[in-house]
Amino acid sequence: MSTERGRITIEGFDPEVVRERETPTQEPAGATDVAVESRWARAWRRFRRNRSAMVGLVIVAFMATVAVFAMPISLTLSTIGIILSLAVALGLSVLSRFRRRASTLLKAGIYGSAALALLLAVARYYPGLTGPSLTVQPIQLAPYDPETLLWIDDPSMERDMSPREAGLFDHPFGTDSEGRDMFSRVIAGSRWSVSIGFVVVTIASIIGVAWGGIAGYYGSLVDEVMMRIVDVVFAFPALLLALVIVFQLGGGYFQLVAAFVIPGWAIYARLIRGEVLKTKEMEFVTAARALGARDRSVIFRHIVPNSITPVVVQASLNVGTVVIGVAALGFLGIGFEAGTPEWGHMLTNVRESLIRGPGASINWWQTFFPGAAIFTFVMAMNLVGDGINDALDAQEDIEPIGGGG
Amino acid sequence: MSLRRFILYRILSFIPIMVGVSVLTFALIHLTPGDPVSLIASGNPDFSAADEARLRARYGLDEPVVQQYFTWMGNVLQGDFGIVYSTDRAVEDLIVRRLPETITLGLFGWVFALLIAIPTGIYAAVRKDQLGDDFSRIVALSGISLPNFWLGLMLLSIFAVTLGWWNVLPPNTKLYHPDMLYYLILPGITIGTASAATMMRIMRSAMAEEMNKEYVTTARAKGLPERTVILKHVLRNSLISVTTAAAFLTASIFSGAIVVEVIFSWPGLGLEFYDAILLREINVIMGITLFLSAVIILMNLLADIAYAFLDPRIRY
Repeated sequence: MSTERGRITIEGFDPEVVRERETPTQEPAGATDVAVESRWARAWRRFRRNRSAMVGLVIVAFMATVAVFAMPISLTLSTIGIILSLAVALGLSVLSRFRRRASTLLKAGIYGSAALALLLAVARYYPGLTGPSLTVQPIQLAPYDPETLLWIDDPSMERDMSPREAGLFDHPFGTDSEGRDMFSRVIAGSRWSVSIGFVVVTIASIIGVAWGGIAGYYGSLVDEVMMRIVDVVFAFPALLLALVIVFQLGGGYFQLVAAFVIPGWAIYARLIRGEVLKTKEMEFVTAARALGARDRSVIFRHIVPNSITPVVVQASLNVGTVVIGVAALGFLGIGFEAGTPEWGHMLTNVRESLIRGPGASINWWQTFFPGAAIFTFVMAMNLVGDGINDALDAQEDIEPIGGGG
Repeated sequence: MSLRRFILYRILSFIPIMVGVSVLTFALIHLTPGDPVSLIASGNPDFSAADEARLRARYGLDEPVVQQYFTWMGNVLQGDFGIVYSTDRAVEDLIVRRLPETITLGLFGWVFALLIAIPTGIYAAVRKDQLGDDFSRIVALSGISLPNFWLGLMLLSIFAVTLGWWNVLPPNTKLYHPDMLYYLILPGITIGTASAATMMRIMRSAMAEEMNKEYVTTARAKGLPERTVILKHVLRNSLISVTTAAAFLTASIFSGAIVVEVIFSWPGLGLEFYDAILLREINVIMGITLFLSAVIILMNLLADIAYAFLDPRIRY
C-alpha cells in the first residue's frame, strides 16, 4: 500500500498501522485519572468559572435572540438556497476534518454545494429567478413597526412623547422626534449592531490570517512586501477610512461591512505573522514538511491552528470596537437611510436639536436608551473577550481599543 | 542592526508606506464613478455638456487616472493639495487653519488619558487579583465600551443644556485665549475617555509583567521599601511600553476627533472632513486623509525610535 503526500510517494507506509500504534489499547499505568484535555476544552472550563465573562456571554446571547425575533424574517427562495448550500458545504468540510483523508464523495459534496451557492448568487441578478419570498421567522417581539409614524393613525400620539406621557406600558421608551415608538426601534436596532460586529470580525480575521500566515511562512521579500501593505492600512484612522469607503460605495449593510473590513483585517495579519514566525521553527512543522506536505497544508493545517490564540482574543475584543464604529457612522448619518432603526443613527436627531441652539430641549429618553443599548452590548462583548483572554492564557494581554478604533 | 542603521531604515521605510497611502487614498476616490463636476451638473439644469467638459478640463479631471495621480502627487509634494471646489480656496490653507484646533483637542484628550491611566494602572497592578483590580478592570472596560458620541451627547445635555455651565456651541474666541481651556474640558473628556481606559489596561499589564521579573525580587530582598521598588524600578521599566502604546493611540484619537468635533461643533480637521464628505469635496477628503496618515506614520516612527532609545536591550 502506498500513501501519496504531495509529490513524494511513500512506499510501504500504512497509515492504519501507524494510527493503531498511536492509540494505545491500554492506559499506561498511573495515568488513569489524568484526563487528557484539549486546549479548547481547558479554555472553556476556565471560561465557565469566570463570573463576569459568563454574565457577558448571557447578555450577548440574550441580545442575539432578541435580534433574531425582533421582526419577522422573510427571505426569497434563492437566498434560502444560498444559505442552505453554504451550510452544507461548511458542514461537510467540518466533517472532513475528522477523517484523515477526505473521500472523493465528500470533496465532491463540498465543492458541489459551494458551486451551487455561487450559481444561486449569480442568478439573483436576473429578475424573476429569485423566487417568491417565504417567512422563515414569523415572531415579532417589537410591539409596533419601528418605522411607522404613530400619530398618523392614532390621534392621541404625538412627536417627542416621554414614556410617562405616552403610557409606560404601551410605549416604555416614549416616542422619537418623528413620533415613532422608541421601544420597538431599540429592539429592531439590535439587528444591525449585533450582527454587523460578528460579520465584520469574521471576514476580517479570515483575510488577515491568510495574509499574515503566508507572509510569515515564506518570509524574506514576500513578507517585506505583504507587511508593508499592512503598514499602509495601519496608517489610516479606521473611522476616516470607513467614512471614505461608505462615501464611495453608498450606504447599505454590505457596504458598511466592507467599510470596516478594509481597515480591520490588518491587525489580524500583523498578529498571526508574529506568531507564525515563532511557530514555524517548531519540530512538528519540520516533520510535516519532511513528510512532503504541501506549503498550503503546512501553513493552514499545522502552523495557523497552533498560532491562532491571539487572533481569537483580538477578534472577540474587536467586535465591540466595530459595533461602536458602525454606530458612529450611523450617528454621523452616513451610510444609513434617514429613519433606519439603528442605535447610532437614532441619536442623530438629538444632535440636530442640540445645535438648533437655545431653547433646545433634550429628551432624555431619546438619548439614553439607544446609547445604553450600544453600551450594554459592547460591554458584554468586552467582558466575554476579556474572559477568553484569561482562559486561553495568551502570552501577552491584548487590549481592546475604545472609541470605534 | 545598530541603532543608527535601525533609525535610518525606519525613516527610509516612511517613503514606500507614504506612496502606498497616497495610491490607496487616490484609488478609493477616483476608481468609482461620479466626479465633482457631474455632481455640480446634476444639481444645475442650465449646465450643458460643453460646460461640463470645460470644467473637467479646468480641474484636470479629463486626463487618464494614472496621469491625474501623478499630477496630484507632484502638486502635493510642492505643498499644493488642490482647491476647495465650492469656495475656490486652497486646501492646504484650510488644513493649516484647522490643524491647531484638532491638535489642541487631541493633546488635551491625550494628557487627560495619561493623567487618569498611569495612576490607576499602577494601582491596579499593585492590587493585582484583588478587589481593587477587579473594580478598576470593570471601570476600564466600561470606558472602552462607552460610545464617544453618546458620552458627548450626555455630557452636553447634562452640563450644557440642563446645568448651563457651558454653551452648546464653542465661543468665537481665539484658540490660544486662556478661556479656551475651560471650553476644552467637555470635548477633551469625551475624546480622552476611551484612550484613558485603553492606556490604563496597557499600564496595568506592563506593570504586572515587570513585577514578575527577578530584579524586583532582588530589590525587595535587599530591603528597599515597596514604594521605592514600585515607583523607581518597576514604573520606569513599564513606562517604556506605555510610551509606544501612547503613540499608537494617535490613530484612534484622530478617529475620535471626527465624531467629537461634530458633536461639539469644534472647528477642527475632523469637522472639516465630515463637511467635505457631505459636500463631496474630494480634494479636501484626499488632503486631510493623506495629511493625517502622514502624522500617524510619523508618530509610529517616533514611537519605534523612542523604544529603541529607552530600552537599550532592543536591537533590531
